[in-house]
Amino acid sequence: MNRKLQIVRVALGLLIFVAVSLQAQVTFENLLHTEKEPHNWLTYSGNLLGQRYSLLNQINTGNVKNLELQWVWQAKSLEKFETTSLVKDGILYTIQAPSNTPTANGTTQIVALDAATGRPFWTFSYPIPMTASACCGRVNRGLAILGNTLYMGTLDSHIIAVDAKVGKLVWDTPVNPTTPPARTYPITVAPLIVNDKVIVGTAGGDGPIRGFLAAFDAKTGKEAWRFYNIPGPGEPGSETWSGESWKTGGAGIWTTGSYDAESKLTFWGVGNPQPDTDGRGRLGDNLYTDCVIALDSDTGKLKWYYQFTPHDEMDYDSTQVPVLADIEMKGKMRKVLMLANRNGVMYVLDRTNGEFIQGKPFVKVNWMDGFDEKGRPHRVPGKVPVVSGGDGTAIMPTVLGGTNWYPPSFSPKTGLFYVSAWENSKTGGPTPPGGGRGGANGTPMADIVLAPNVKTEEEGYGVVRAFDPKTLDQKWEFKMNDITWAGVLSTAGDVVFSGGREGYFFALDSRNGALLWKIPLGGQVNSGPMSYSVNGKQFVAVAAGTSLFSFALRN
Amino acid sequence: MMRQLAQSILDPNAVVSVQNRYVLLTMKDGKKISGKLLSVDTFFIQIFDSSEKLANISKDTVREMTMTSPMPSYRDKLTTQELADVVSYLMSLKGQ
Repeated sequence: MNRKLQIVRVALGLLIFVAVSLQAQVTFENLLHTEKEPHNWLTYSGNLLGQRYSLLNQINTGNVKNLELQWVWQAKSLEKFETTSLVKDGILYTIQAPSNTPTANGTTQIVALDAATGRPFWTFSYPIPMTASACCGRVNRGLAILGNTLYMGTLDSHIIAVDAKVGKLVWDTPVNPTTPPARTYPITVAPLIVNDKVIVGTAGGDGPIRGFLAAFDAKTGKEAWRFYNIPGPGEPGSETWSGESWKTGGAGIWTTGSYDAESKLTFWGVGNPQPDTDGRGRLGDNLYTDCVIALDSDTGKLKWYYQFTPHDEMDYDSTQVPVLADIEMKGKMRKVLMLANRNGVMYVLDRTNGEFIQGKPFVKVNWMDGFDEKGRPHRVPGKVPVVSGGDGTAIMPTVLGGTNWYPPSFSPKTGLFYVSAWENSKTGGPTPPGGGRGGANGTPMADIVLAPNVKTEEEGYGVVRAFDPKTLDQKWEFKMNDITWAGVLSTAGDVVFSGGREGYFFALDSRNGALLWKIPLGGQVNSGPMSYSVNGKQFVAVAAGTSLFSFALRN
Repeated sequence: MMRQLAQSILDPNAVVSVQNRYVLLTMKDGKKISGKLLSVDTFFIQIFDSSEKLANISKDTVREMTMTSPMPSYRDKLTTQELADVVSYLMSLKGQ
C-alpha cells in the first residue's frame, strides 16, 4: 500500500513538474544564468549584466568570412528598426514599430518567428495613435520575457504583457502619471525583468515631463514601485533644481538597465534635463539627470547615484547601457559598472557604492578637462551654449554625443569593452546653423535609407573602439567614413559584430579590430546585433533599414 | 557675397560647399581619375567623373584621394580692376 502511494506521489509530482515546465518557459533563474543556455538570447543585452556577449563560438575568426544570409524578415513599417530580438528555444520574438507616416495611426506589433527560417508564427498588434511619439521616431528597442509572457512598453505609455505561445494580450497597464495624460511619456525601452517584476522607464525627457522608473508585477501588471528621476520638494537632491523647474525637468530613461544579483541593485542611465540646451531656468546640478542610478530592485529605493554631467546644457543623456563585470584592478578584484557616456567620457565606477574609480575621454572632448577627487568633472569655461555665456566656439562632442543609446559590449574573454562612437563630432550651440540637432557640421539623425556622405574625417566619422577597462586605454579602432547608430556584439569566437549608417554589417577580430567580413544590407544599421543557435547552428541577427537579417555559416 | 566670389576666383579651394566637392584619385597603377564626389564610405568612393560617367571605385585600388576644385585659380591672371569687373558681373546675374 505504501509502495502504491509512493508511486502515485511520484506520478503526481512528475505531472506537476511537466505542467510547470510548459508554463514556466523562462524563469528568473534562467535570466540570471544565461551562460547555461547560450543558444538563447533572453534579454535586451543578452544577460542581466548588460554585456551583449555571446558564449557561442561556432562562428569564429577563422570562418566568419563564410557567413551567408539565412533569412530576411521585412517589417511593414517605415520607422527605424532599433529592436534587439529575443530568442527562446528556436522562437525569435521581435517588434515592428508603427510606421512613421505623418498622417496615419499605426500599430506596434510583436512578431514570433521561426529563428532558423524567419517564417512567422503569429503577430500581435497594439494600436498606436499618431499623437504618440518620442522625440526622434516611433521606435521600440525590444521586449522582455519571463515565464510564458512577453513584456513591451508602448509609445502611448502602457506596459503590456502578451502570451508568448499564442500572441494574446494578458494584461495592459497605463503608466502615465498625469490625469488626464497631459504630457507625453512614450516608452521606447526594452523592459528589464528582475525577480517577479518588469521594470521600465519612459522617454519624453526632451519635453516637460518628470521622468521615472517603475516596476510592475509580472503576473498582474500592478505597479510595485515608482522612482521619480527628479526628487520632489524636501527630498534629497531637490535643492539642485531652481524654482518649479523640477516639475518639468525631463530625465527620461530610454535604454535598458542592468542588474546585480549579489546586491540586488538595478542600474539605469538617466536622460538629460529639459530644456535640453538652455539651463537658465533650471539652475543647479539637476539631479538625477545625466546620472546612473542604483536602486534596490525590491523597493525602488535609491542606494547611490553618480552624475556624469552636472547641469547639462548639451543634451548629454546618460541613457547608455550600464555594463557590469568583476575586474582585477591594481591587484584587487573590483565589482565595477562601466559606461561609455554620450558626453564623450568613459567611466568605471564601483557598483557596490557608486565610487568613481576612473574616467577618460573615448573621443575628442573639450567641455571638460579632468575630475576632482570625487569624480566631478572640471568644466572648461566657455564651453556651454551661447545663451548661457558660451564663447560660441564648437563644443565636442556634438549634442548627439560621442556615443548614444546604441548598446556597447564587454567580452569577459578578451576583457575589452567595445563601443560605437562618433569622432570629431561637434556642435556650435543650441541651434547650430544648418545642422539642427546634428550640429554645426551637419551630422544627421538616424534614418532607414542610405544617404550620400561627402564629409571629411575632420568633419566627423564613425568608429568602433576597444578599451581596456582597467586603464581605459584604447586597444584598437575600426574607422568608418560615416557616423554610426549601430550597437556592438562580441562573442566567444573572438568576433565583434557591428555596422553603421553606411549600411554595412561587419565582423572584426575582437583582439585587434581587423576586418574579417562585411556585407552591405541596403539600409542603415540602427540596432544592436545578437546571436543564438538552433539545433546546433549559430546565427547572428541584426536589423538594418526596415528589415531583420539573420546570418549563419555556409553549409 | 562679393568677398566670397572674389575668394572663389582667386583661391577656388579655399571654401567648397559640401555639395560641390571634387576629388582627384591617384590609383595604385598611377592612373588619375577626377570627378564630383557623390559619396564616400568605408570601402568605396562614388563619383561623377570628368567624362560624365558614374563610377563606384573600390578604395583598395586607390593610392591617394585629394579634394580639389577643377576650377583654376585666377590669382596673378586678373588685374584688380578685372577682378572687380568679373565679380560685379557675377553679382548682376539673376537666377531664372
